[in-house]
Amino acid sequence: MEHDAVWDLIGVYALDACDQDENEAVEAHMADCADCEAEAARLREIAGWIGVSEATTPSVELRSKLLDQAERRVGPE
Amino acid sequence: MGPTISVAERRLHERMLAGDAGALAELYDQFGSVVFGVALRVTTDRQAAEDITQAVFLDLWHSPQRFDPGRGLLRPWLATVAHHRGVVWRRRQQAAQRCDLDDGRTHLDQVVADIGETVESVLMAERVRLAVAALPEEERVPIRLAYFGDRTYRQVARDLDIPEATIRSRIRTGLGRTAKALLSELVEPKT
Repeated sequence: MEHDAVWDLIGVYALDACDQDENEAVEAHMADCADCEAEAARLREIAGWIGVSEATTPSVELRSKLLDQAERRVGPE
Repeated sequence: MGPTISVAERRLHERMLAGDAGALAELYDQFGSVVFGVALRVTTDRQAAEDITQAVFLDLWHSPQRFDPGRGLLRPWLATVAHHRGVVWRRRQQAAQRCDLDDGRTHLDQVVADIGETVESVLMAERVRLAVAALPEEERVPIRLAYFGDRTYRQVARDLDIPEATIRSRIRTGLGRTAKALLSELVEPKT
């Protein structure tokens, strides 16, 4: 995909709102284009902060499940 | 952009790199609600959101170098990773049940906002929320639909009956405007 076409997609890419093939094309281009990569990182951080406002406490069990899986030494507390 | 990475956060990441299981527990305690909240919002499915939350943290546990402390904070980064996984899950789900039109969005009414966030991040998230709310409707609506609705920008364009190129540019402009609003606020903080 051409640089201009990727540049045009970067906003929706940052929101995970592209089609699969577009996603792949954007990522392939970014591997060689520092400008697009930096712009995507900048917009993704904004998107991330939009997501942060959705914080919700998960169930208590999830914590011990996760830590068990990560390493047997760390059991539920 | 936003608060710079703190010494505590950098140290936590260094401990992850060193394979310190206690660091994973701390990381989860600090950011579990963000990861789960985003995943739940995108999938509207508690089980899927829990699975995604586990996968996000286990992934970072096994490959902590995926996070680059030079490029931003852990919190928005984790939110982005959770969002991406949520979207992948949702699309797989949609592909599997194309005819099921109930997206389960009503479950979201029961979602309770988390209060265990650090003050700085709550402020930042609030600033972002206000900055997005202050965007012109033509930018705000597609951003919210694309990020939180279960849609690609093409679907958003169809739903709003607006050309795809226009949607792309409005989302891009809106995100850029949000970034700029945050930056100017950080340079000239409001009292």
